[in-house]
Amino acid sequence: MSAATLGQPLTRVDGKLKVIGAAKFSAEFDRPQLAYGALIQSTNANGRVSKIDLSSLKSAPGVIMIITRENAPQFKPYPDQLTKKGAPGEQRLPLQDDEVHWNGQHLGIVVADTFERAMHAVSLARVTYEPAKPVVAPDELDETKLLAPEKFIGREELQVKRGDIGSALANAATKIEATYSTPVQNHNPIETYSTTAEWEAPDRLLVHDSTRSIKQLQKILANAFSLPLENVQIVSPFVGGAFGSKGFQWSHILLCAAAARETRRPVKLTFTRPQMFDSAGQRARTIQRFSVGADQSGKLIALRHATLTHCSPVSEYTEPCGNMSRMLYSCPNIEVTHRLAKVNLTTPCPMRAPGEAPGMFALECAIDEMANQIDVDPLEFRLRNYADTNEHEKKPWSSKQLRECYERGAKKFGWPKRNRAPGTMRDKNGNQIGWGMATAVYPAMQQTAAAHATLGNDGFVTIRSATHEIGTGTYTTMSQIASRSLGVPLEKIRFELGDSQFPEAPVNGGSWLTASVGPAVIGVCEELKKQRDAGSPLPIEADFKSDPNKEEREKFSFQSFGAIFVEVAVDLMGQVRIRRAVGVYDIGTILNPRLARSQIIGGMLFGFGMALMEATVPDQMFGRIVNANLAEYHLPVFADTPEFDIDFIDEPDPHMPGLGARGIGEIGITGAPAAVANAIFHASGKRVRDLPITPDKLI
Amino acid sequence: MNESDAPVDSGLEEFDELLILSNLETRRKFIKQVAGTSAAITIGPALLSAADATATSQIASPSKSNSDSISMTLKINGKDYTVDLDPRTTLLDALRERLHLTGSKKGCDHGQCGACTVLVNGRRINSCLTLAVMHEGDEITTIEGIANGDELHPMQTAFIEHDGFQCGYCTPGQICSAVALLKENHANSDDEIREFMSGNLCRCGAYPNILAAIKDAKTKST
Repeated sequence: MSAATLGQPLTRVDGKLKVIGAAKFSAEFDRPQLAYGALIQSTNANGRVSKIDLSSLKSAPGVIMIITRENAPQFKPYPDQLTKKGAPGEQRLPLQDDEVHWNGQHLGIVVADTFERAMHAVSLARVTYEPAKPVVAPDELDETKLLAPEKFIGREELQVKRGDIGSALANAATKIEATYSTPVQNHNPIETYSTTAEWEAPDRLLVHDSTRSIKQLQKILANAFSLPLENVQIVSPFVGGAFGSKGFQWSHILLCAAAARETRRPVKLTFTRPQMFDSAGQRARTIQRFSVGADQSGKLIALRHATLTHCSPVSEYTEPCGNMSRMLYSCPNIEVTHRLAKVNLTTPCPMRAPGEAPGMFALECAIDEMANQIDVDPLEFRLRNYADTNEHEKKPWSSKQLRECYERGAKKFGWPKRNRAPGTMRDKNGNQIGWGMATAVYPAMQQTAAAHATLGNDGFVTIRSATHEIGTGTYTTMSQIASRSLGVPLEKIRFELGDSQFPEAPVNGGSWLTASVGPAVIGVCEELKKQRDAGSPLPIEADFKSDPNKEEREKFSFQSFGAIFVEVAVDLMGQVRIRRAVGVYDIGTILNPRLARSQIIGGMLFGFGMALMEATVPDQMFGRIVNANLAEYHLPVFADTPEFDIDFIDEPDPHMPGLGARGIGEIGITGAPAAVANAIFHASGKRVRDLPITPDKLI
Repeated sequence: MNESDAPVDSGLEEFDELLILSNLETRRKFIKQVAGTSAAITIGPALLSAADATATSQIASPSKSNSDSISMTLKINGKDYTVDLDPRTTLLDALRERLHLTGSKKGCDHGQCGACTVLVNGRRINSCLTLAVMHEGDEITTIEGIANGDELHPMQTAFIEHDGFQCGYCTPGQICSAVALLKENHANSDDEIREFMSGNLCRCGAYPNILAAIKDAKTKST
């Protein structure tokens, strides 16, 4: 079976651990003398702290230690790499000054001997402020106060001009002007952040953390506490979902490690659900203005996409909404801009398909609006404007089967039977029925990764890499790759991850894990095989490091593509139900169709939540999140789930290394919100440009 | 009436547990249990101040006496555990933090996500919404007790087979909930399963696969 493991719909190798409750997440490592941390948080969004009254807190039962600005250790500043060029995460170290920048900012940590006592004690802190009026909405700021960031995390250009947009718009036969907006959203993995820090020696720190970036966290902590890198160990064998959270530098991890050092005990700090809304990153609100023009043949001639979004006062991370507008369709005249407002909300960071998710909502709605305006089928309109090359990068695609995705998806869905006029379909209960579609797209990136392998006397192969399992199936797919490469049965492969002592692997994000760690696993298996075939005595060991192929990446533009079709029903009360969804994706080689399908469905459902229900609501006076819980921040539940029909083109990308797999984690969400909004328009004739599309916007 | 005697015929039963203080039966039981275990403790807002009053700790000299804790015995997965607990300890925190049965997960601590779902006398409840002290004498089943030794429960097998999870964090709660769902006879159609499983959130979006797993397990168990 070994040779056939790749491409097979195998079940997860860690499945049993997960169904019996034995997969250990970060908050579940019992340590001797464990103490519990709780955070003192600001209830103001701007100004300064004038005093923190700890008198009743100090005498609360079980309290071991309180750290505030008064007695905080000095942390060494974050390295530039983590704070400059719009990098995600906070630039500001915790507790080094009295400034308050957002509601929920950490003002201290309390450590007690039990969880109950820590939670009670922290409620006794009384903070007084010199408050200043906060700015909460990005559009409150004067245009002169906005930033115009050059690049997204030092990579993609955020201010782009091609051709002459002004005269193209003036000469367009058909033109639309529309503004789309998306609210603040939170990742809300079901596992909240948790850190358990313990000092094994005065200069050795062990941290169990729910992180998807163990190597980065190791560097952050080593830097902050001025320790040699190898003296900091991060362990994270299972992460309970991330979706863009659980990476980067957040102040609580430093506070927890500092508390552990001061108390000389292991300290566990686990976020409450409300803290997932004010301390864990978020997707920023976006306001996106579009001007689109087409000529008489229905060919796009002008596309302007102007994004206004926000960061916090301690970050310049920018939600890059316009990236896909630069090149998804063929268009000679393009203008993409991004403006950034610093507001008194918690620091934004990537959330599943950062930029693409809100940007593609707006772009794919605008394309639908154009198609309607010129009265052509929206799929036909997309085909007329198909981009045969990446016109922004002026490069050919590494591989692009989007046409096939459209065709196969349309056929599965029954799209050709669609009556173009909106408001023409009803079901037997009188609900309005609508069919909508959108394109999906996400870059296929690759990072440096390494692996170590051992073939033991018992015939078992152990492979180690400092990568992560956040639900994507890393243990399984990497074991499959190793099994195929070595010709060893899957049962004899042990893939180990989640330990910073293992060889380098990138942050688990950007949909690049498989394309980055996969080649490292293949490489190390090849090395092992050479030694084995040469008859070296067991055990044998090998190391391998894989770098992105720079030459190929300079020659080609790497993107994954897909097409999504949905049917919605809108009832008299304006309630929308998604009835069925078809998605066909071109994401290169499929290593495991069972897991791939699961991940795509999860991405699409994430997009459906974005379309219909998800919104984090900051109070406009005080910047406090008013719905910081899972009862009032609505994410899709079982009853919101439609029927899914998912298919893959499953052809290797000839220019991706190793296996020709491109990555799968984020493309599912891209396009999904637009497909829903377009279907709602088709059902009801109402074009809602502000997410989420709640019933009040439809009645 | 003992809760375990109550007929299990409606998902609404769970609301009894959710609205602890508005349900007379449950409230009486709660008061009786707390009072029975420690005469010094009173109920209501006084609970916390009583804890404060008995405290002797100061900074850097934490209380070792734990004079505000209560000794109790919990029967979990057929095994008795005797443990001293702060009366404020939820059943979930007792399981995770004191008994190291970490299969039950904390996702929200407010009964909004279902990750902490366990079975108490065969009924599914959110263990974060109930205090440990209320469950002396109850039969508590957690994910660690769902399998029969090394032999997985058909629901667990079906979850693996149908890929009913990704990160796996909500999974123990989903499985406990699904096992109870079948007993409640609430798995008679796809829509009924979707409705009666909607208290268990899965952010990875494994719902269609969980649906398939539940249907499969139902077929195999009947």
